[in-house]
Amino acid sequence: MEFDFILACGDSFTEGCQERIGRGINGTWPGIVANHFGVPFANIATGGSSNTTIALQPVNTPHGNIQDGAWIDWSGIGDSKKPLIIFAFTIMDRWTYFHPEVGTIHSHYSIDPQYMEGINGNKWTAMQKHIPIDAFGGYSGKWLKTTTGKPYQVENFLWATIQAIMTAMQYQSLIPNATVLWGFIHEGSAYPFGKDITQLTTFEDDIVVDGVVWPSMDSCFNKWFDYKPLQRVLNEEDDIIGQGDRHPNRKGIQSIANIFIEGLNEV
Amino acid sequence: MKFDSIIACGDSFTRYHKTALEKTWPCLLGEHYNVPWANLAKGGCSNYEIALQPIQFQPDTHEWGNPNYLEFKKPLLIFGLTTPWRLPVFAPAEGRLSSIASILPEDLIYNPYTGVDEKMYEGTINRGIIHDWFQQIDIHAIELMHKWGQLFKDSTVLWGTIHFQWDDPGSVMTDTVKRGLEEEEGRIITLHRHVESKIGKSYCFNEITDWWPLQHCLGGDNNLHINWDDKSNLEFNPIDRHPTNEGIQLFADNLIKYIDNI
Repeated sequence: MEFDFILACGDSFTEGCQERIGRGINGTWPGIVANHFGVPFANIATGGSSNTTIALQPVNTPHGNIQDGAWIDWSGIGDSKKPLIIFAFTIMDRWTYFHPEVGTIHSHYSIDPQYMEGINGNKWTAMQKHIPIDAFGGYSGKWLKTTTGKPYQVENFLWATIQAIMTAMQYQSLIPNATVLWGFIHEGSAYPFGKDITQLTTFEDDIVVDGVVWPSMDSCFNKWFDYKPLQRVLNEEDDIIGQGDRHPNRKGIQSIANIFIEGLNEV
Repeated sequence: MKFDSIIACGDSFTRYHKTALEKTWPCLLGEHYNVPWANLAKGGCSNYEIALQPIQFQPDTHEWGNPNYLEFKKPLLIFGLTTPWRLPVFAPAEGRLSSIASILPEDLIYNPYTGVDEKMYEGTINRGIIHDWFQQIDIHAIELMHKWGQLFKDSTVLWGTIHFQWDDPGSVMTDTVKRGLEEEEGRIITLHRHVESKIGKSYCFNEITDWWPLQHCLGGDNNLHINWDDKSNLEFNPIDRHPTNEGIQLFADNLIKYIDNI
């Protein structure tokens, strides 16, 4: 695959917990991958992002130079002729809301009402704390295609993720010579995946739907890891920051970067 | 100005569901300049949602003009702004950002298309009016529209306000219209200067209409609106202030005049 720039979007698993890890933007997996291929990059991922806001990060992220745990020198794709844009999606149960005071779309890391108020949230999430589950928790009325031939009626949060993938793929149509890759890194407890991302299960590992056909599967980077979410490459013993924090440490970040390096070399 | 295609974004004054797609102003512009075009507009959108139309638009769910973005190497992106009094919200039924089309208390309903119980946002709307958040939302929307110019290497972003809610029927300019125009003029110039100071270059087509919203060029003429004020047969001919084909042609003429003068 030919590319001359990498733009990485995602949540904390892509942002790389830079403040805690202490290796700056070059120590994140997008930085490692870009340095391996010798191309410039921008990592505009933000911790706690929902899939909807991840898909909007290329246009919704303010330009500028922010050092502490966030993007630096983000001012567009520069002189790139063939940008590679990677959307690293996350757990589906996050709350997307419009922040009227700031005037932009935001997301909150949890839809659990107790984590939407007080020190865990802000006045907007507190005001809306009952909306995600009470009003939005049901079915969207949309149906998901499966390889089993049995269509599945989609819940609202799953539908938002499907829309986010479709939104991400639009960049490939809009930006001349751009390549978009999407996939899942962070795996959650609501709609956890089964054997791979084509299976959605319950908390108790009961399969809810099998043979999920996500949009644009050809562009899904999980194919380089047997369609498993990349978080599963992390060894619980020595690849995560520590008990209570399952984000990848330096070794874990390198393991995720290796999947991208090997995958991109294959294409 | 060089461009090989047109992508138009906006609300119902850019794409009205009762107007044939081939009669909309993006199509008229495409025919005039002999370039492919796409009309991504949707009725009821807020300016923030309009700014996101290039990526939120799903080509398989609407008819939209030329479907092949990949042919567009040097597009002219035209954002037709609407009233600031619309609130962007996340819509569960759509799985993406949508808008509350009217913030008047009596218009707030459960909207089955978006899945949003709009009444829940009444408090937010009231605070927004008091604290002038709607102006702030527009500033972010206009910045977002210009981000496309930085992602789309050889594109040009053109913007301006079309939809104007203060017009009255008839050719006499009432005090209400005068006040509305002054307010809109101030808003448009503020946004224009903001783009100039933050982005560098602002192509605002309202310059061609004395910084007034494009809709005002229809001048309250009943022939240029679908039905401005004829209440004699409301059941079959409801009030509908969207432009007729002649009105849309006037929009296109003004836009062409502006584009040719850049």
